[in-house]
Amino acid sequence: MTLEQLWTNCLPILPEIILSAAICVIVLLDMLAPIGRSRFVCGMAALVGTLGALWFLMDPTEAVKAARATTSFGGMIANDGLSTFFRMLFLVGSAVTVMFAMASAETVHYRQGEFLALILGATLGACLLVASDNFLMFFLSLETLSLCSYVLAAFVKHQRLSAEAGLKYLLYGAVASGVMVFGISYLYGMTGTIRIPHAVGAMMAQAAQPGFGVAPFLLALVLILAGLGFKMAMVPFQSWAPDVYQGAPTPVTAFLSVVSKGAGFGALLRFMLPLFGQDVMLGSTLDGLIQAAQLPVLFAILAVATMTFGNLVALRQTDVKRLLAYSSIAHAGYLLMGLTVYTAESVQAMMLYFFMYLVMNLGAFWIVIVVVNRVGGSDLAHFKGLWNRAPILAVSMFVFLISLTGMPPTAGFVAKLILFKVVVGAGVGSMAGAAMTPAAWFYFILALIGVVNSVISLFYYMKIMRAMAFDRAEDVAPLGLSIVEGGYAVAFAVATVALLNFGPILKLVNVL
Amino acid sequence: MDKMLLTLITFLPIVGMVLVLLMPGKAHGLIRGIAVVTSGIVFLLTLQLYSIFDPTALATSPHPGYDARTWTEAPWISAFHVYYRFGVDGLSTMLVVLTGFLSFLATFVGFTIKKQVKGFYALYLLLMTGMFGVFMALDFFLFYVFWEVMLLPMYFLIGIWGGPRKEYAAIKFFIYTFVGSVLMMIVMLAYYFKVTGNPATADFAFNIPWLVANHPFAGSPEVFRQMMFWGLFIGFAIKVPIFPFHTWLPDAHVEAPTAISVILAGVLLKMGGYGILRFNYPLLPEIGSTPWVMWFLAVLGVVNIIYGAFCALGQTDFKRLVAYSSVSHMGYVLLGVAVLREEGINGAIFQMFAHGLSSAMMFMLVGVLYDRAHHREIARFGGIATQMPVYFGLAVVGFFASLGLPAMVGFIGEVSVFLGAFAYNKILTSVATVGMLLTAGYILWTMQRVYMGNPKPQYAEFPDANKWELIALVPLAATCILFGILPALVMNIYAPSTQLFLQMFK
Repeated sequence: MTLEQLWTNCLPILPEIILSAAICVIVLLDMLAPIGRSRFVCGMAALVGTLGALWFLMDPTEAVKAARATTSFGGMIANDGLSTFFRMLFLVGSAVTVMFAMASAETVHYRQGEFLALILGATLGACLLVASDNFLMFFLSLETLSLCSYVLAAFVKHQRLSAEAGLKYLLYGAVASGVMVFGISYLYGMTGTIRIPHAVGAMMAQAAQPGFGVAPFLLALVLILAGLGFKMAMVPFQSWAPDVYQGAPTPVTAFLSVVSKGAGFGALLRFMLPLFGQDVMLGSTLDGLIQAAQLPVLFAILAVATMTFGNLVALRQTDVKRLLAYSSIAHAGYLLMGLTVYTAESVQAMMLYFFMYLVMNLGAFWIVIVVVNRVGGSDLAHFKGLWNRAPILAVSMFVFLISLTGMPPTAGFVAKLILFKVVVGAGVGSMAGAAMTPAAWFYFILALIGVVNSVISLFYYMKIMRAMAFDRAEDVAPLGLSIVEGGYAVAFAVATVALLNFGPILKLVNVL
Repeated sequence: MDKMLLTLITFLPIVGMVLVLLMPGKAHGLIRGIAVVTSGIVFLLTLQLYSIFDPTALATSPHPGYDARTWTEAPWISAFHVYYRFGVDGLSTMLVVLTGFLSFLATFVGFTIKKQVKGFYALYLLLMTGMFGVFMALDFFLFYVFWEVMLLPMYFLIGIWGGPRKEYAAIKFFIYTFVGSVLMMIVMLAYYFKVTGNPATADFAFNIPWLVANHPFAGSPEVFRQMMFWGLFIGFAIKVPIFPFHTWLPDAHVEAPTAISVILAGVLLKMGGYGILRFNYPLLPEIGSTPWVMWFLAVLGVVNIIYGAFCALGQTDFKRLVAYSSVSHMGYVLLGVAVLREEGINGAIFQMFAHGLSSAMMFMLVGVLYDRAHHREIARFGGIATQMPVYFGLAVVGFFASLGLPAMVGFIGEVSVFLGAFAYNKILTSVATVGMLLTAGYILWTMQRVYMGNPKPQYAEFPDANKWELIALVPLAATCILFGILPALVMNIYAPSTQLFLQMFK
């Protein structure tokens, strides 16, 4: 490889290179910065790093644009729209997490440099994961993300809950990774390649042959799903999420619920991508592999199980962090509905959903961070009377909650609308003339279960709202928010409402 | 100016809300003043709409069925074919004027609110925007947004300023309506997908007049169109409310503060009837005119009338009685629409208008009494007539209007509905007329127990209606009588639209 070739290969992953450099700088700055100032100094460095990476990602040179259709490093890194979009999300999510971490009181007595370096490290793993075109890269970057996340979850090590969260996360995660590697090896054994699109493509080609048995592919898929489903908090791999979300410091919880979940989801899309772009219908026109493996049915079952479990269990929660953990499980369920339809539109709907979810969920976690800082906990009781004590927080939280429910005029409504559109549309498309088909019933019932779940979710989101607006607090003194605290809340709330005008985001996801 | 009228009516309350939010929280007088002025200007604008609206020009309008002068259309989210599209026909003009009138009067009723005045009026003005938007939006997406926007302030208005069981009532109201709206959303998406499937028509995906005129699902399976019809119907039936989806109403109406009960009964219930007339039947006329659907809905309407009246008879709480009377009265609306005859539909629409005036007035009357007695138990009242003669005079007008006394506003709608229904089925209509008897029963009996009899000493020092109460009550009493004598003032507005509506079934 000549130097010039090296440069062309490196250009598309310039954001990741900047991130790596930022990690080194932060570790050094942590030692050099005056005691007590390291939080600010390292935080600014981390912000510069993530935003710089974002800048290079969003404003690419002509050379990078030309490289979109190619892969770098001999088929290790894919430079396509899917990876660009998810890397953008992760960088935004990580920049916001850094900002949260700089304002949170939970981690203030711990080593800031390490904390921020780990966040950036996890982001690096997530970015490379969705960009990887090769199973080796796929697994390595997944482990980078996981290892950083384990440590982050246990970062407030003197608190029992946090340490417990870290250990649980590690144990579950190790098993999930192991199972996934087995699935990858299985796929490698069957197809003889570790390039992801080649392996999936080989399976699709085999499916066209007569006498094709679908079981090996399904087995490999399910094993890989175990690893990615763990990251996404998909049922039945969700059991770590509530404990970890509750125990981890709140900025880390926000990070896990957005970046880590997104990484799992982006990776799943990366794996499934060759299957997309098929005809809408479940019937004979679908690709042989999708049809033979009954993938729409598989993912519909997973989606329904995940959203229903998340929503029903969330009903009984009294800790807001734990409640939001179950809520994020439910949202993973909604997202999985998109995988029952194999059109390019469906991928875009899922990407758009994730974008909106990122904004509203980060906003909700910011309110939790402020309440934990100021009132001293994330229990529902700590939210009581917030309407009078800090109206800005309460109104912003209200915006995030109705957005998470999926009501207009917010981002969450648009996200659900477009995702349900794909499912309902598949049902309408499956009707054969004047007769209903089983496929049409399948999609309509799935959409109905989805909206019923939205209604269930309203109950527990309103529980938070009710505590804030209707219940009286023992302590009624105004919180007296700082500009940062109020400003972040308002900024996220405005963004959540402004995203009702989702035209620009549609352009952003229109990358496939 | 005409082009901006609908936009102004809808969004002027938001301007008022921003002004209210900018005021210091202690300046109650200033906040109330802003609310009164804003809703007053909006009311004047709705009257302006009434005066320029020409019902005879609808059939020849470039936007068939809708007023061309006030039609407003601009792209909003082009990638998703969403338009900012506002327009009015006779039905919506009538409802917009009613909304403007009631929300202006209810501002005065809200003067009894003493805690968090700023928050109350800010949410109240936001609610106004939602209500106007629902009645005028002609883009499905835009309609849905307004439909939900109206829900949110209502939740807080009941939940913060309501009575003892306010939290339960607020969440129940919220969840019932939300169930309805998500069903509506699925139907909306089905239309979107079907219409965008053809690039030539893609831009009409949310265009309600276009969907009504073109029936994109004409060749689709019958069972699918049935599902869409009932999906929409449940969404609107919850709002009307139609048995068995009515159980949120007594809770919400009773727990809400008086001003909000007035809006709930006067305006929000009309949204259900409006939705059925604007969406359900026009989008799927062939389902609505299926014999068994007509029969089923007519029976449901009669059940509403009788069941609501019996429930009202059994109430011991004054406000709850008025709430159940709404269930009964809205049954006439469903009955009138379901039979698909001109008299029936004209009567149903008039009944919506009449109920808007009379039920709003009854809730105000109950509120006046509650502010003095701090209880609402009918059995503990008595002899109020001699202690509060002016108030009693107004109460007679309000209750008799609701009873359907001839020359009062309630009479016209009921009779017209029965004229339509009688031509459809004589037995069913005869059963429904029992509802009129029951209505007379519970209203006269209630008036007797509350207002007649010997004055009770504990109510002796009750002052008569004060000036704010009179400002709210007298115009309602006047209109209850005026439109009972001259119903044509209202009917002429929407009758041409009814004819256009019925042409869909020919």
